[in-house]
Amino acid sequence: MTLHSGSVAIPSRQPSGVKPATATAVLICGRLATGNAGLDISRLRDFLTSLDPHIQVSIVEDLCRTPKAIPPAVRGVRRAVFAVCSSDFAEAEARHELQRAGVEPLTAVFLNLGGLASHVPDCDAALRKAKVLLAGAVARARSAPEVGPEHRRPVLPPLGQNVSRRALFTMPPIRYQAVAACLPGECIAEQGCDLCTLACPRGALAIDGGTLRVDKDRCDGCGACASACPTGALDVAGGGPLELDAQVEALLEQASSELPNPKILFLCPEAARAAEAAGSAGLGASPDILPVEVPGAAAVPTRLLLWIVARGAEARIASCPTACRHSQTEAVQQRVDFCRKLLASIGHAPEAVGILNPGTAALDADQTGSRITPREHAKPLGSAADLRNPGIGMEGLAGAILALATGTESNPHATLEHPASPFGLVSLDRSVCTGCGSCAEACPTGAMARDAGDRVTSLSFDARSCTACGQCVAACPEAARGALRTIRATDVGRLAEGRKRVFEDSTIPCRRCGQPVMPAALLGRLNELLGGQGAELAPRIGQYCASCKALV
Amino acid sequence: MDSVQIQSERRVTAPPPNRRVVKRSGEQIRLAAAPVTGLARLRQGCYRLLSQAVLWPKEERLRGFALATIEMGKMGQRGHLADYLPEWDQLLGALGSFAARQPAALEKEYTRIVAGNAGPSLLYESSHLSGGPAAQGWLLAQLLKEYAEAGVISSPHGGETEDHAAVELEFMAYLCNGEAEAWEREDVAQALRSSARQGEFLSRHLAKFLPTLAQGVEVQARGGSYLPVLRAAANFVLSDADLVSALRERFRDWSDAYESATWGQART
Repeated sequence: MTLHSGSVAIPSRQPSGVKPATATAVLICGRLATGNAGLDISRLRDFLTSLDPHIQVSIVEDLCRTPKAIPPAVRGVRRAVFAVCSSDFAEAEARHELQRAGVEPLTAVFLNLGGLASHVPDCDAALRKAKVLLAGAVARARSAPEVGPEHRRPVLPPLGQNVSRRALFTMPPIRYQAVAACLPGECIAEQGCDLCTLACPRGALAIDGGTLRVDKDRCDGCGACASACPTGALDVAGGGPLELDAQVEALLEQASSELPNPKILFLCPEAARAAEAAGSAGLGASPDILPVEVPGAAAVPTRLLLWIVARGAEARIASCPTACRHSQTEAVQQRVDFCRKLLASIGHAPEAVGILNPGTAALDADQTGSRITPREHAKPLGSAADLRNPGIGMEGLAGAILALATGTESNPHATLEHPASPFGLVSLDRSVCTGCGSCAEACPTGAMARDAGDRVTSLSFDARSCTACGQCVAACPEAARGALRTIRATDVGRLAEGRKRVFEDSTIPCRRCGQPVMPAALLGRLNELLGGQGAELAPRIGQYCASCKALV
Repeated sequence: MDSVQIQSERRVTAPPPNRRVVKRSGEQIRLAAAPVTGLARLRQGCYRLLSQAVLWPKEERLRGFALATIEMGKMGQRGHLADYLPEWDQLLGALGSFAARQPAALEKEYTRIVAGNAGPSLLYESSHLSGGPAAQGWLLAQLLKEYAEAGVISSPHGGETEDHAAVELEFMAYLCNGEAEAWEREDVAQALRSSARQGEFLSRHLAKFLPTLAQGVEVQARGGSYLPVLRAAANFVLSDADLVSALRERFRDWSDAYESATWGQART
């Protein structure tokens, strides 16, 4: 069976963020023209102004060491991008100056062109890469949502034991740490979802009375919760899903005309430092590796990895040079392994997604221990088709997978069972199910739904919304008899099918008012349970609705 | 300059303002230009202004309000104190715009929406509680207790109850004043106790109450002069709660040492 994109209808939350017309300042360090390959920064300036006339470009000599030059360059703008020559620059002071100038510092993007672009041996190739990276950085800065107190936590250095009296009575420089923030309208914690709390490596999230609470003192903004959230309700200022999406989209868009074989590489700050330290031996020398900085490797959602492949590029996550301070190594490996196996099952080259050593720019040896056998006649990487970003959240993920499967000779019944599968599958035994609807009531995402009509009661399941949380099984009164089972698996065919009816039964109407009382199977089960003791009671249960029972 | 005699027989002067770097015993200590006292005073001023903003908009009150807002703006620039209040621009902008409004228009708005002609007044914390009169009574008793513990009692001639937004904001201004005075006389223990009390009051009351108040006014007012001020107030309070927490964390290792000792004894 060939899956066609026409069978897909995926409405979901689109990256919107700040409108493109928002004034953005790009500050370019003048030393980029002299270091390593030497970038032609006047051509970079021309490129940016042609990209969007609302971009204010300033070339600042030795920007990295003169933060005082920032305020005049960011006057009248709301977002800022810094193209710096090395990671050794006064970032804290730069953020201070931005705050004083009225620009939100957490949304500023610091792009180390010196470490990531200027090592490319060929000058033209270095310039092309720099242009692509700048376009991505501008898109990221612009898509950052408005930042409020819930997005940040102030951090002051501790006093320690040896401190002067003067230091005791004066305030040290303050910096702000981005923390996870929840959009109340999107969060489904009240319905029972707790995926973010399970994903958080620091136990900073808790559900309290149906409301998600973030312990700011524990949260370090790694972004693992944001990538696990099925509705895109969680955000981390400066590194949230909207910003990553916007940056990747812009990179792919720009790379389609500048670079032949782009690879999007997600790297955390530690990996970025390792990449810079490797100099011309690392990824900075590669003309087609496009780095995207993330707060932590687990902030990269599966959806984005697959979407990059659907757009015809390759996706990489940089391995951490030291032990991951967010304890995310295994989670990231599992995520990449899932992507590779899924790609193989739908006829794509699995090596389109991988883990990369930032110091050597080489793919790490497969650390998952899995065997991946590419399908016969596996299709090569597709070209960047005219695909609309399906958005964030579960529907966005389904959209990305279906976009990959479009036009391929995929096995419609292939089911990939994997511990890192973001989707789940529910199987229902119609001979045991009574149609009571407890599963639908318990389902936080609405994957299980019940429709109690006048004549027919039905249950339906939508694989695109199932997160395998298992709450339906926990709520099912017939689970012990095997009425409902769930597995953590992705089935491309089920994703394409959308919502499908899985149970149907006639509804017993009320003898008095005609309103639906219960499904016939449920009444039958009640009769079974009551047995001989309830012989008199059993027939009456199914005769009247709750309102009429009181009147009869 | 004032000097202070301490246990180690070393005469040390009060820190000079706006000093960037002090070299001491070979150790380079980078200092911000902001004294802790100044920050406490600035926060006191913010709370006092916000308290005035949610009272009945009398003409003379608004006149004083406008002048005070200008002075606050200058105070924030001194020593980069505003760096520690990320919502500063929003707050100052909202207060400045509010101060420029005509009293008659504000009176109408205050009566119609904020003071509750359309329903229960949003300005009382108790009106946002579920649980009926029992919960409201409990809240008032709790507030009375907290005020009394800080050495404050309600004036019998005052016009508002303890849970009015203006009273709670004024209480925060009082606590900030206490903290500033403690820093000025270098009583670190008392300053930290005041800071702890502020953090508790913010987390129990204002940090929950003000965002709800702002949302309520947004729904009822759909715009209007009070909404920007209340939004800015809500954001300021939330940020301030984080700042107080960060300040206390900074002094965490010192707080026990300062319970009953002087600074010199704590150092030995």
